[in-house]
Amino acid sequence: MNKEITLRQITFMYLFISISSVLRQVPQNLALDAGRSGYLSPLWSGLGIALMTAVVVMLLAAYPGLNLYEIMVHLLGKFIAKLIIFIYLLWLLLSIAAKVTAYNLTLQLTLMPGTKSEFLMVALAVMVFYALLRGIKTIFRFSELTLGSILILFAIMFVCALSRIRYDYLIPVSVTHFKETIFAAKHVITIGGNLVIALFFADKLEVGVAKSQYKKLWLGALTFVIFTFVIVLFTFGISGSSLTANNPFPFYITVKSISFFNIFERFEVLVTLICLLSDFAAICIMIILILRCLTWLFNLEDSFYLCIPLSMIIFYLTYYVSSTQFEFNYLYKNIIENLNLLFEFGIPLLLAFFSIFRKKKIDKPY
Amino acid sequence: MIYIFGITIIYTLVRQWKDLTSKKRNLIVYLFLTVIGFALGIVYLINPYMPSLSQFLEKHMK
Repeated sequence: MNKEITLRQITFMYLFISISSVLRQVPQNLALDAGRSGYLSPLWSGLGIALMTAVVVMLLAAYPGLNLYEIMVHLLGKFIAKLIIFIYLLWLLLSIAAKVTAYNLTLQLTLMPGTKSEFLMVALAVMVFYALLRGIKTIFRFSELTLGSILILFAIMFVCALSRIRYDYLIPVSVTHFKETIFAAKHVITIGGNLVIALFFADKLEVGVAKSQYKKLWLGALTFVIFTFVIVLFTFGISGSSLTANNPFPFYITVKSISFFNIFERFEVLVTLICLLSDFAAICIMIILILRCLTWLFNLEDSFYLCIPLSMIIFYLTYYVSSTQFEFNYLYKNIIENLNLLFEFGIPLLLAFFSIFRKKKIDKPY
Repeated sequence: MIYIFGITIIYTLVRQWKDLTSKKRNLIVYLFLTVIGFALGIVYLINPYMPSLSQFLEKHMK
């Protein structure tokens, strides 16, 4: 059995691709929806993410060696499976266009304000193409290699920021906003749902995944919740909820005020770099998912040659989807988040539900 | 950009000709995606200030 990737690598990738969205979108959206108590929302989101992890683990255990499409074929039949994969393809195209826009906007907001988005997109396309040439395993290994150092960097930043946190921004917790903190957890859950990538790559895992391997997914989900909580706490505690709500990238502004014992400062450049690396990995994964969807949809054997027409579609789609920061914020909050809920939670949950009642004999030869 | 994409598409078509023609559906999917890409590119060339999806939804979803 060709074991290309492991659950550990999938967990690392899940955390890595979620970082940029957590840094960019979560603090602002939580501050807008839940006010000064918004930093409690990541804790509520833990319940939703735990449910999602349970669904993924259950499907992986029930259908060993089968990917999302094959599970759908077993449960719903080929026609409905292809129809759902086609809808997944459209969702992925919209998501990747939004991700590329976010990547452009991050660079233009921080390090390269005068550079045209066309140039940034071409540079990104070349890097992604090169990464894809090296194969899936290289991309997963890249995240495995980088994530550890990124988490250590965040730990250092948090220690340095402890003296800057204003506790009057955080305590007392406003009880009037308690209900809002629960509803605002949606902003975190939609990013935590990235765990669904495990189902897309399930056929690349070894068939008999040990129970200890599933623990890695649970650990990844827990790390995600803690990481998000720390980032939001950090942003709210230093910048305050009103500044956080009115800034497109509040964490970037927050980090500006931190220094490491006055020896090392300007952490914001590192934060931008981390966001770019995370976006790069996310775009690579999304391209692979789109290629996989096309392969399943049209029964193709190889789909790498579709990269060029696909990059052309994504390039122009970014202009059609959103181009300014305000447009992107609107699209993310009203469309992408709801679609994420449907495709990352709704459909896997439905599959898990069906699998309880309609478990058929798996006839895939190993 | 559309010219660069055009050249790259033709280059890939020539380079991958054997793979693409090994199965009819490979070529069909490739051409299908290429046509969609060019259609999007041409519409953007004609009207680069067309309202985006986000703008459209913001206007009509109130």
